[in-house]
Amino acid sequence: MKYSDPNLRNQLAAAFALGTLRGAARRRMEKLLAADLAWQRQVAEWQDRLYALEVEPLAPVSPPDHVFQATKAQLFGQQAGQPRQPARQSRRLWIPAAIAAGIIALAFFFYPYVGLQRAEYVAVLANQQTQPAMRIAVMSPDRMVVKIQHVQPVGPGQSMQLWMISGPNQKPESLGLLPVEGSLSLRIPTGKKLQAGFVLAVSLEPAGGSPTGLPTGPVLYQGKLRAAG
Amino acid sequence: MNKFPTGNNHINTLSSSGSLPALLAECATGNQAAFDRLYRLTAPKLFALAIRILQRRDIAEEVLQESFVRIWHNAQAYEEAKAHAMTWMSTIVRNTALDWLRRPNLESPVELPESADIPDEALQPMASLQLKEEESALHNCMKELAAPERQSLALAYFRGLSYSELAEQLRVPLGTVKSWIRRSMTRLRECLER
Repeated sequence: MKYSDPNLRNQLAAAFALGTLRGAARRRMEKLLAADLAWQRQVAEWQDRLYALEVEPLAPVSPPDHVFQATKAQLFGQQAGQPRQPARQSRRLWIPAAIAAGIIALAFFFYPYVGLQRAEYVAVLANQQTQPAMRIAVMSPDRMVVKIQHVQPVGPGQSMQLWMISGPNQKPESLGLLPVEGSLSLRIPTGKKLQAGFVLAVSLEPAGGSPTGLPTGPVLYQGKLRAAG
Repeated sequence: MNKFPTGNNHINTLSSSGSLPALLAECATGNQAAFDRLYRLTAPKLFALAIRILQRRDIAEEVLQESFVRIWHNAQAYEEAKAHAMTWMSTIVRNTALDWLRRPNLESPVELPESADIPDEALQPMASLQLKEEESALHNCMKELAAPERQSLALAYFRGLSYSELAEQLRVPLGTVKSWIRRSMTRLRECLER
């Protein structure tokens, strides 16, 4: 096919931006685009036009604050423990999160098991008195949903951190920080493949998470992953 | 020249003030405060887009989170000269949301949960879309298209449908869909260039 015809180039740029160009044709165009700045600009112009038509008129909707907190925890969860004023930072971070999470918890009360229906594995994490504290559902190889039911209060300088233990004598591996209330969708870190039989545990750590990469505080809750029924 | 204040002006205002591209550049260097500000400025619009595509607020929240993680990690690839920041970010949100729609296990869209913290416009994205569109000059200009032509473009954009999927859904021949889309896109360009 000839790609010098301006009309064809324009139509392909439009189809590329809209997404109707598929499969081998799209892959071929991706390769050609890499070396063709003018064509890239044409695609960008179409993307702008589509934005003006389809996105610009949408009325903005403020996302609940727990989404922001979860995004930050996912991106910066590990480093957040290192700044000098962990207690202050933690208070700033978690109090609004807890308030937002309370509202979300209410929503979940009326709409239970949002994600759990299509889970691959589920675990109920309980304290030493076997009282359930939270449910965790592994939705896909890279995503899980944590639903806090009832956990003990966590101080301003502290965080709850989730770990997986793949078998006897295996080291715990961090899966990230948890909220104290509500529900959270967490990305499972790359390379960590959760399976039935793995133990999930939550430890109490300094705000921002364990500085060592291994649990440093007491284990508060644990449970075993099982295949979802 | 662009005549529509509701169209590209929004994008231009944000980028010409330097704020969004500058914030993305800051994100590329690992500046977390810049990320906070970027999120505060853009999340409501991008969340509306995710809800519009997914028709479910719970999944839209997950997609928004995933999108901002991608935005952070890809911020260094963003080039102001090549794309408007808002368009670039909306493309990431749209692709992430369409990936979700294409997942085989996803249940078909259901009603959004009734809850006090959900604003009306989130429950009825279509209604609010139509409401706002009526005021827009771009919308008026696009009205000269037949409804199925306009609809085919929206379906391609918000559902990520291919030509053959569109033909199936709209129950018309493939050639008809292709010419509808082409006519809509041509019209869109004319409307914005008028």
